Amino acid sequence: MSKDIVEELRRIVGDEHVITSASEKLPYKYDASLFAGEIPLAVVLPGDSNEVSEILKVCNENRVPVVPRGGGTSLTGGPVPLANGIVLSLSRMDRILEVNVEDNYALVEAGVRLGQLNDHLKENYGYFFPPDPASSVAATVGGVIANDSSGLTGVRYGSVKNWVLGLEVVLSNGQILRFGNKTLKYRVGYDLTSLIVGSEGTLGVITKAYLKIWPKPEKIVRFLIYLDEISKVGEAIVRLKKGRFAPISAEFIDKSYIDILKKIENFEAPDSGNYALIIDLECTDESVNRIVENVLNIVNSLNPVDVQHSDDPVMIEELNRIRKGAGSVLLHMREKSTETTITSDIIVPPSHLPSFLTALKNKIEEYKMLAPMLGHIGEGNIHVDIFCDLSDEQNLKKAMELLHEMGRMALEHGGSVSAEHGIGLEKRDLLVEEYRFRKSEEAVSIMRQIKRIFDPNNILNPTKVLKEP
Amino acid sequence: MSMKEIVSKLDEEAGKCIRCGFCEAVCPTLQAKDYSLYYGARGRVILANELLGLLKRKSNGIELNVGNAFYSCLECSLCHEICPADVNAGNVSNIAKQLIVANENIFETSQIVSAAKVLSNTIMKYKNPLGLRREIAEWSKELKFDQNSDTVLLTGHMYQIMAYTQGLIEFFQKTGRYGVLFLKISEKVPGIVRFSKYFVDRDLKKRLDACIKNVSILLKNAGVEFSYFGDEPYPGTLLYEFGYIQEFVEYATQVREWLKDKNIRRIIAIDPHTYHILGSIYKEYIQFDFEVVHYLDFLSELEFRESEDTITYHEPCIFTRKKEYNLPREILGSIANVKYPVNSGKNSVCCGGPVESIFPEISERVSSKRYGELRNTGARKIITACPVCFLNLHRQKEVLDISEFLVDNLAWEKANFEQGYPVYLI
Ligand SMILES: Cc1cc2nc3c(=O)[nH]c(=O)nc-3n(C[C@H](O)[C@H](O)[C@H](O)COP(=O)(O)OP(=O)(O)OC[C@H]3O[C@@H](n4cnc5c(N)ncnc54)[C@H](O)[C@@H]3O)c2cc1C
Ligand code: SF4
Ligand code: SF4
Repeated sequence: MSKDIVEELRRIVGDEHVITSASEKLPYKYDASLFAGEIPLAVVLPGDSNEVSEILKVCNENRVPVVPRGGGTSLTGGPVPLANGIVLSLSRMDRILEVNVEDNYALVEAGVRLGQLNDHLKENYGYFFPPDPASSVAATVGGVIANDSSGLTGVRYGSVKNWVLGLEVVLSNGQILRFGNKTLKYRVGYDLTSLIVGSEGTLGVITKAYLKIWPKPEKIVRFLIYLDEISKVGEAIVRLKKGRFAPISAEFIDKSYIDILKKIENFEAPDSGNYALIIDLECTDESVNRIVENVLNIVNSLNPVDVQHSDDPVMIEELNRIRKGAGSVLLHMREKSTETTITSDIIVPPSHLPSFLTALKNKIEEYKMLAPMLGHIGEGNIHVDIFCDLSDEQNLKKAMELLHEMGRMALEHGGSVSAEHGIGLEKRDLLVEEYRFRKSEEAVSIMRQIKRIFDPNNILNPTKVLKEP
Repeated sequence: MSMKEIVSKLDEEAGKCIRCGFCEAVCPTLQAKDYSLYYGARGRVILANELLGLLKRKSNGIELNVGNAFYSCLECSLCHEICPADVNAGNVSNIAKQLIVANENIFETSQIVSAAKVLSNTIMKYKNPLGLRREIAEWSKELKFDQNSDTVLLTGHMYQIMAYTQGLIEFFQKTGRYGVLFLKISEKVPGIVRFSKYFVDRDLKKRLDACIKNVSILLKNAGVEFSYFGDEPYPGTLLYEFGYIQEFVEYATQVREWLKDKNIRRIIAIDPHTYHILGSIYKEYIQFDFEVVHYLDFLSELEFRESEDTITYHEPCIFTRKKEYNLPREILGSIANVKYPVNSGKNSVCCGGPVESIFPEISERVSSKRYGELRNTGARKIITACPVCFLNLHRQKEVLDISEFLVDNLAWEKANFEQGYPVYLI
């Protein structure tokens, strides 16, 4: 039977766009997480929405699981394949179809990478698509919508859901539907666009999107602030907010990160700076000096180890590159190649940061594990990278325990277990735990019912987000 | 190099990967193969790690067919520019090829690996990948050299070979299964490869020979004394690129002895590949104490007319990323208004040339995309500084070798003629 299905798929997309050889399928086993999937039945690379629709019809009729895949940068196992299913790669659908600055939108296909989109928008229009995950160079429009990603600019622009106006979605039965519109406002019935955003490929396949775009800030001034104590990191954010500053981006990295970046990227930092805060503020030529003075006043009240600032776009871009690669550079701290990191994605209200960060640091010390921290601190989103050895079951278990423990701590501080990386395979238990904590377990059963409506045969990315249908 | 050393080198390079996928956004072969990850940077690193795992577990009968993944890599290092974990998937491919070659008996052999083997046999036997001999020195017929000079011009055979490759590739593409047969016979009878000379594109040969002549003209005008020998050896670049390291070391040693015999102290290379292999790679494997320079190093005193043209310069990957050799940029910038394409400098995209002989369809798609980027600059002329880039982009449409552009813009009114060369008076 599987042979017939493959033949059908070949008929739809052409021989050259169906991969069946075991060796060629092997790289699809992975995303950027520690999860390894199974070798799929086939990898299919459609060229347009109609082909996606045809593929889904065949798979739905034959109950073949379909795992959508964009850039494969997920940190939670979302796009890793299942043995008897297909991988539906949207990579070939990478066209920017329309840009309309008067109406503030870009119409793009799902396989367009965010980096590609923003290069195009910035160079040709002076506009940009604001959500900026550290993986922007490789993450695709379909992937960031399916994961409702955010990233470095989350504190100012929120997550992707704030920037999606409308979607073309192919349902599990192959129907092509359009949710939302290209208008800046839309208020027609239940918000199905938002339902698809963050659905991690379990409700439908995103093929096109109307994305809201925005003029690039005229000028940015960046502050690089070194602090000695973790509570001051939280305090700096709180004081800046009280001072009515709304940073475009507010990031932090801890000492482990600073040290490894010094070694690998020739990043220059003072020795006693245990934490670095990187804060971007929008300004103009006229306002830059005033903003610098006011920010320095606030920051200096915390006795920082050092403060630097610059509005040189080249320097800002270079530091962005370093920051965006920091999670990967960290792996240079591995002692053996079986070691990896599990990344927590917790978030708390920023006002809780001073106490939460201190508690988090103590918890990590209690577990005696190497677990450097960085994060989009402006919105209270912290990634703790827990080192663990995949060849050591006990160690892996302990790392998972710490991940869960941190999730619980975030809940107790009024936060959440997942801010932007999604659930995938990694945080399915935590999802249930969060709703239980809020005494809203029923929400999970509503999710199951929604899943059944959209995908009655459970072919779309089964076992992800919710273990059971 | 022992098997253990190769494995540990591969482990060191590929083991750093965290599978973030950033490199997939830039890898030109991934796009050229319609996004099959097997032909992309992260895919190659994943396959290398899988291979290492399999080798640890068993020593024979590896069913993973990885030949095409690694042999289709351009080794352009663009992935390395973007990789936050400092992995170079190009190096991974290079080391993996060494592993495949050193373990021929346990890997599934693909047609590609056979093709690589044929080329390596021919190089070992004829000191040229196509068995060319007389054809190599034809460009120098009417010229005189300072044969006692301890500086030698080594063409590396690169400009010359390019006139034959297109015909050969077309032959293989057209003959299909006969091509496989040809490979099989060639494995046993390397001499058959010498038929390659009948595939010459005569016009192209004339033009490429003229480029080497241009180099000599420029050097002479810059007052450089140098020797040239018609029996100069090919530097063995493909042996290295195809993973035949043992053969490469043996071959490089022969090249060294040839240079010693001629009392050479300094080598002038004229293309990036030869410049890199002799200047950097030889030293990693054998004692090699010769000074290796590029001919453009000598041109600072020459006077060029300012060109009215707007030009664009396609930077060879080896110059921008492996050697950080930016002199061509400076020289061109001093003569003409140079407009660079979107991907330039360290992010310059490969012309697709390095895999042209074994994956012509990948090569064609990469070069066509790159050509488009160069055209989009709106410049009137596209300049290259590498015969491989020249050939690949030339197939798309018109390009100029940097030597052609420079000779065209020499201030000829000051020229006189000496030893068959037009000599420019400084
Ligand atoms: C180094 C690094 C840094 C990162 N930094 C950030 C960060 O700062 N902020 C952040 O939010 N995330 C970050 N991420 C996580 C990741 O990049 C995001 O989750 C991103 O959204 C994934 O996009 P993708 O195109 O790679 O999707 P994939 O990884 O391919 O897929 C992600 C999920 O979306 C589904 N999917 C993909 N395409 C479609 C489609 N067209 N239709 C339906 N479902 C689809 C998949 O099935 C999967 O469940 C980072 C990852 C890495 C490796
Ligand atoms: S960019 Fe580097 S770390 Fe990331 S997948 Fe590619 S090789 Fe691996
Ligand atoms: S060296 Fe070039 S072709 Fe090879 S993997 Fe890297 S980017 Fe791709």
